[in-house]
Amino acid sequence: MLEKIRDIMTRYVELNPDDIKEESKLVEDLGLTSFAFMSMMGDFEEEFEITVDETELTDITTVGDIIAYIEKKQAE
Amino acid sequence: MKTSELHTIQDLLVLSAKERPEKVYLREKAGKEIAEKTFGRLLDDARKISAFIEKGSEGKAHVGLVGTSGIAYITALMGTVLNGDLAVPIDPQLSADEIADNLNRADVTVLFYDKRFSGFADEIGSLCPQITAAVCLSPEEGRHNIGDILSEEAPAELKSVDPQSCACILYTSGTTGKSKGVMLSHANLIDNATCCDNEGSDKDVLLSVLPIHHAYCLTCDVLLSMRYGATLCINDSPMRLVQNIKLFEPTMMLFVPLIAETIYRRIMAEKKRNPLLPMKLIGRTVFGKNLRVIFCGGAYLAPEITEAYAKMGIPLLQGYGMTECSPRITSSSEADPSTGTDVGRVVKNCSVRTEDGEILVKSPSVMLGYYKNDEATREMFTPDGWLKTGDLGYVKDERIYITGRKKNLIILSNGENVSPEELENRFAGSEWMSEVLVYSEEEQITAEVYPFPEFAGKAEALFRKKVEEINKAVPPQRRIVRLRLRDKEFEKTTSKKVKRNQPEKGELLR
Repeated sequence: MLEKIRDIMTRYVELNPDDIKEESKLVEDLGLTSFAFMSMMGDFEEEFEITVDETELTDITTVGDIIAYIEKKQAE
Repeated sequence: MKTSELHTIQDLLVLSAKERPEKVYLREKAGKEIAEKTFGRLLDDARKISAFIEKGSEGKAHVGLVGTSGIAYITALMGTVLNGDLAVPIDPQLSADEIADNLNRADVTVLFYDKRFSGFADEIGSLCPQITAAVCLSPEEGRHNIGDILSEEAPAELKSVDPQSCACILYTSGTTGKSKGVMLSHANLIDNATCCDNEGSDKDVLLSVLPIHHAYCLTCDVLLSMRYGATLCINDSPMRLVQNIKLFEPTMMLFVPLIAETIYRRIMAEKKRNPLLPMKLIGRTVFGKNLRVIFCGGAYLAPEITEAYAKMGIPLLQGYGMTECSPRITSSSEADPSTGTDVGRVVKNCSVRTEDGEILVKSPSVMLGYYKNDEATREMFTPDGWLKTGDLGYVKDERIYITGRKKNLIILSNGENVSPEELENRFAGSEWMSEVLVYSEEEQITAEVYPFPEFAGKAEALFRKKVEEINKAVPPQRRIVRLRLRDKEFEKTTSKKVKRNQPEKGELLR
């Protein structure tokens, strides 16, 4: 899953996929803006066929949090 | 629509319903369907909302709206202003305490809220004791909701509305830290919605992507599309902008630079992967076949973004304004685009001059003042009544060129204004810290701290912890991203204030 996530994230941040790690912080390490974060979550929605609830996103701060969120949604 | 017949938002509602009663004005996603509302129906529903508000209020009611844009939200907003009551749209990203504070400071007695704020509405008695009626904007069972009003209430008669009366209060960041309520009259908003001609027609479809508590969205999405008899589609979430562009196939959109940049970056990533794809084709894939123009305002727009959009065949037209001016001061058109260094041509009825390098404005769009804040209002105007924009620049051939900021506000690329003082005040009570300065560095909110020397060893950890605490309490766009720690005091002015422009910066922690 990390590979797919990296692939989508590089649409929004000018980084090599290898620089995106599970522990990377979205804002501080990757420089993601709040709008880019939201757009990206929309892409994950399509890619992983899940329904993202905007109100659940406030605690997501790292790439690992995104993976955990997507896995949780897929299991629902 | 003859703009000479427009004096109030009521005029706009009545005329648009008269000219195009059956034409669809609003569209939004409702599950897998698309919900719609015509101009005729909007006026009918607005009259019912107005009747409901009037029934429970003596004199002019102040009506708060908390939520994101949608058909129900716009109906409640139009119903509020139809007969002269006052609307107070609140930023839904604020904390519950800040929302309550904004409602209380605007003397709101009636509230319309998004179902996401049901918990907030349940506490309304203790948070905002003066609110006597709270109405949910979606048909939630067991809650007093807008569906009850629209199915039961008899429509209100139209009353005469004074064009100079206040139609809405919009909050804007103040330089002293506390947000200020900008009072905009019917005349202000109508002037601004009619200050340019030939921007659109009844064939246009707009996709509204900006937050509705911003003047730019209110005037240029909601009122402007009504003026032209165009259809306004609602983007239900920033997450789904690209999908919604495909769904609604807009001809016009209003962006802030942040949105333009994010989509630009996404497109360039696509181009890098498929270098042979022509830009025009990528543009059509992302923006659909109908998109004619994007208007952009609210913050600085880098020329390379405009150029990239031009390569995709989409004019990205820049304008300049501020909430206090309803908001447009300049605008650009396809026939008269900004040249790259200027921010557009001064709009009709608007006069602009400079004093000590600061841009001053006088126009029928200029606000009535800040609600219950005469001191702040006085500070915004020169003795002869010109509004001080706080921007440094010059005017040449009716075009405005911006060179810098006079005041301390940080203007983010989403058009959001952030008060450094407000963030600095949040460090108050940190016993380890002597001085703090918040500023923007490479478009990122930066906090720089000088700790008391005895805490030098622990300062970094304490600083990080404090920032984490602050970032939890503020909306995402106001979070502190960069941290700098210094081992020397900040340089001071002669009156012993910390200088905003420091010649030396502290060590970058992140």
